[in-house]
Amino acid sequence: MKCKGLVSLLLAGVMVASLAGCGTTVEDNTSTPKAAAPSDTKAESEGTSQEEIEEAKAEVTVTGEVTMVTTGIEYEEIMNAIKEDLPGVEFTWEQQGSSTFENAYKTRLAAGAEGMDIFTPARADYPVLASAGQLLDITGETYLDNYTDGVISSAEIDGKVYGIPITANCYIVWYNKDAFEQCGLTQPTTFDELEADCAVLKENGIVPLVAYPKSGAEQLAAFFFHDLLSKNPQWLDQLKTGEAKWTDEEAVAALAKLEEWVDNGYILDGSLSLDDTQAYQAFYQGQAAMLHNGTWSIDKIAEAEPEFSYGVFPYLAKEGTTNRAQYCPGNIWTIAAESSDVEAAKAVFNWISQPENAQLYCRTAKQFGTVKGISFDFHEAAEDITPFYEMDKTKMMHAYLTPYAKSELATQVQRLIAKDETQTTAEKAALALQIAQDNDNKN
Amino acid sequence: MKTKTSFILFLGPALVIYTIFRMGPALASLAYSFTNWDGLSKTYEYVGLSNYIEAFRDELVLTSIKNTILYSVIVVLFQNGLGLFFAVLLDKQWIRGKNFFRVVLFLPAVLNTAAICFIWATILSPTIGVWGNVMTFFHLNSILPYDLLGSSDTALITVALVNIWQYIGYSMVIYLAGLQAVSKDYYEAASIDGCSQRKMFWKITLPLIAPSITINTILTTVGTLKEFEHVYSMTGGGPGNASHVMGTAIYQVAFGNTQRFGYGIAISTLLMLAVCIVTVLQRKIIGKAEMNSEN
Amino acid sequence: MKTKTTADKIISYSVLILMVALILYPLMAIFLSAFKTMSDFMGNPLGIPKTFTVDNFVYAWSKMHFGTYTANSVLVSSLTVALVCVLGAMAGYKLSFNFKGNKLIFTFFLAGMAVPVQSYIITLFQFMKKMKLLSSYPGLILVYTAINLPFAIFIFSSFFKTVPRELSEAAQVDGCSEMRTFAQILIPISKPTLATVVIVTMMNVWNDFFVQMIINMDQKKYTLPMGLLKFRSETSVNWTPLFASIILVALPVAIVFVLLQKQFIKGLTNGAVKG
Repeated sequence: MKCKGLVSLLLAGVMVASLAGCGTTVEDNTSTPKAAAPSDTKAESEGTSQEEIEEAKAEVTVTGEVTMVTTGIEYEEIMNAIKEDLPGVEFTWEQQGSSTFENAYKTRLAAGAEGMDIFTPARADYPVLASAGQLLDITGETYLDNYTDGVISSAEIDGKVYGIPITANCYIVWYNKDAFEQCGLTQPTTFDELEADCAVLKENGIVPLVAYPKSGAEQLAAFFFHDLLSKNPQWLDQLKTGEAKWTDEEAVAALAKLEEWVDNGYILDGSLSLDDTQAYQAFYQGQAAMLHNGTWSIDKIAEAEPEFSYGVFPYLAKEGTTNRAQYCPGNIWTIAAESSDVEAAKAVFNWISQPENAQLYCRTAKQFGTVKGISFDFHEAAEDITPFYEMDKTKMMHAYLTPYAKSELATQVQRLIAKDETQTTAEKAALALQIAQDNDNKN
Repeated sequence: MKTKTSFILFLGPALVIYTIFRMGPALASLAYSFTNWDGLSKTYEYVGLSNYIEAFRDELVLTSIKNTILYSVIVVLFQNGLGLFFAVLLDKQWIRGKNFFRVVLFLPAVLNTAAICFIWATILSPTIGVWGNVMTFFHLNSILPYDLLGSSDTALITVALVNIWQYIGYSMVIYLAGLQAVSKDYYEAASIDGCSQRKMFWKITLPLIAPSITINTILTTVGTLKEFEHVYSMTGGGPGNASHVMGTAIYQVAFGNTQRFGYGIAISTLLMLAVCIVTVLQRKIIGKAEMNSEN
Repeated sequence: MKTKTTADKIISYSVLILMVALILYPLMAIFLSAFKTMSDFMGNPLGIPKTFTVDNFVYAWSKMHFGTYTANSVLVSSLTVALVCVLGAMAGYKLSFNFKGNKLIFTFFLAGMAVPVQSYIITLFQFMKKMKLLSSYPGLILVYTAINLPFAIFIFSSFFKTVPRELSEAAQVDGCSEMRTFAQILIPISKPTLATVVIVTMMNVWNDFFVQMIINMDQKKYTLPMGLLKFRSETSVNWTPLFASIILVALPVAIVFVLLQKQFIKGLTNGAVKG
């Protein structure tokens, strides 16, 4: 692993960024806490400078113990930076394994936020936790203004804000440029073009797409529902009210399209037992020309660049539909309502909302951040992806489905891919999905 | 012998620790199965037996019960059978390099299950693994599916085989411990009498290691009935819920997306009852076998 | 023993070698992958590394606080094993007698085996919080003991049932107290059972991370399996360093097993033969 080299590169990058960054005057870290440098917060927020200065003073003296629990790696660079900037705060970052993460925070919440101040609840749990009063209401905090439009409002429950989405994701497709060029193809811009390209690839003996239905079946479904979601960004909400149904014509058509692709052999045989790492291995080894995924997967590309030349495009809508990006906030950092150190936790929130700290986070975690003014320069591919975030947005499918419908979608996608064994069809799948949806809707 | 102090001294500590740290919390948790608590909110309502009734109608639960039983039977039979086989083999005096073989066989049991499952999933993958080659080499194309873990017919069994692979050595070690206790005199006497190898095994070895068999059987049964990690890592319960076992189903319901903790506990209680029933039955059957063999 | 025919020998060794190959193949894949770069692993997960690198091991070592975690694992495991053996043997012994309520208590213990930890972890956590036992060694050890006691009791009671009563009765007629009889006569002859309980409990506690994860929030008290989690990021698993750390973790265990194996067998054959 080139980790040591990477770490020094990152540190170098941070130093360069802090010297040349957006209007900050911080050179000497020890005297003025980065978190409270008046000049950069002034540039970003709408608060009065007097408030900022007072806040800055308060933060220098804030003390407390904050424990943050996430599934992600505890990034040393972030921890060290926090230690420097918020000397009075004893910051502990605890990492929990993904299969027990939900167990962990639910257990701790049930005992009164024991040993946990900041945590990143699962997306489905966030609204429930908020309504149940388990999360601290942070509506109106000044640092919230640092975020790009739409980010904070996407975290609103009943008009109040309970957490900050630190990262943002949208769906993308990685493709093997060499393979495409070999067949005389260029990057597609509509779904129809994409389908035509698949036919050409298939003729040339190249499998078009590898998927990972073992862990990401809904993301594959989203690929086929993209046109519907671009046309109608309210569709996922309409499912909840019953206004739209899985059995509607366009929904069944989307499922049928998946069926068609399976029949045409466009999806790599053997995908059913692949998870996303393994699917990436298949793509890397040239077994398929495209890999659908989300922007969170850029770390895989960064860690192990394929030997062929590759490109990336967003999920595509059909000819005639304005393409939107299926978007969702990534990790939402929240403060437990019963946390024992609310002020210190808020100080950390304020810290992460400052551009250069957010930039540090993005670079370290290789994720796309949500603070205004940061640039995604941690990898070449990231620069190609940046414009996708400027597109009009629609809700990311797998993030906004209701629980039973989501499970059922995964099941049905897997069954459709295995249709030789299961003898299922798009219509049957749609029916099963609607039953699950009705189950969700009545709760 | 039967004085009160004797009881308190011997049984007391175990009972106390066990009750406080296991049964107590378990019973308290049981109460949740009669509620609709989602595991997140601060409030919940009592719903009586409706969780249990729903569990019996839930397809996921029913499939997972069936799968759990199947999984358990396969693993118990083969892991014990093979474990015993290798224990007997490696107990023979004329085998050289016994230690080496024992260590190697035991190794998988000590390694991290998730990593083992990942590697096996890679190996068995037709795309990134060697399964495709193996299939063609042994001309298995018409018998077995191309994608073992991705095919609803074979997914569960494949996971069971990996489970067996991992723990053969573990069962073996327990059998070895049992075999050590069998005096070699019995074999000598029998061989002087002209007993064949096979007869000696069935008439001498097996009955004398009956306790080890019981231990291993209970161990593997209880372990497999609560199975979670292998299925979760290798198939996630798929494809299409074909390989869900009770452990993974409970997880998905109680802690996964559906946030129905109370319902999850209800399913878990059913699992517990099932395990109790199976264990009791097993003891009766094995008990009878032990008595028969002692005659 | 009659001489083995060559055919038997060939078959036996072939079977063993085949089995070893089957075991070692995936293990070698893990082992070799620990020496690969990420790109190499992506392109060639099961083969020999194109370029050998020890970066993964360096990274794993630095991330893992190996020394601390191993010490914690050893501490927690050995104390739990000791407690389970002692208490389990005593309770198992008592339960091998027939008395009123015997079956009830026995079933009470057995029921525990069937309950998975996930279902009561929340109430356990709340309880331990009240008792201020969270993130503490005693707390962990007690929880693990409670989890492993049923099995130990079950095995010990089965074993003690097979011990003739005359043995202990004779000793007591001679003036030995029950406890002494128990400790000095019954325990030595239960060596195989003891060994089994030790192995099973040790494995369960050493490899556990679920209970750890929830009950223990103090990073200084983490055990080895927790260290392995450092390689899971939010969106993916860092497989190559994970493999390296698995090897680092498994190495001491394997060495201990190799050494102990010989001791075990010696110890078992010495005092355990039933006359």
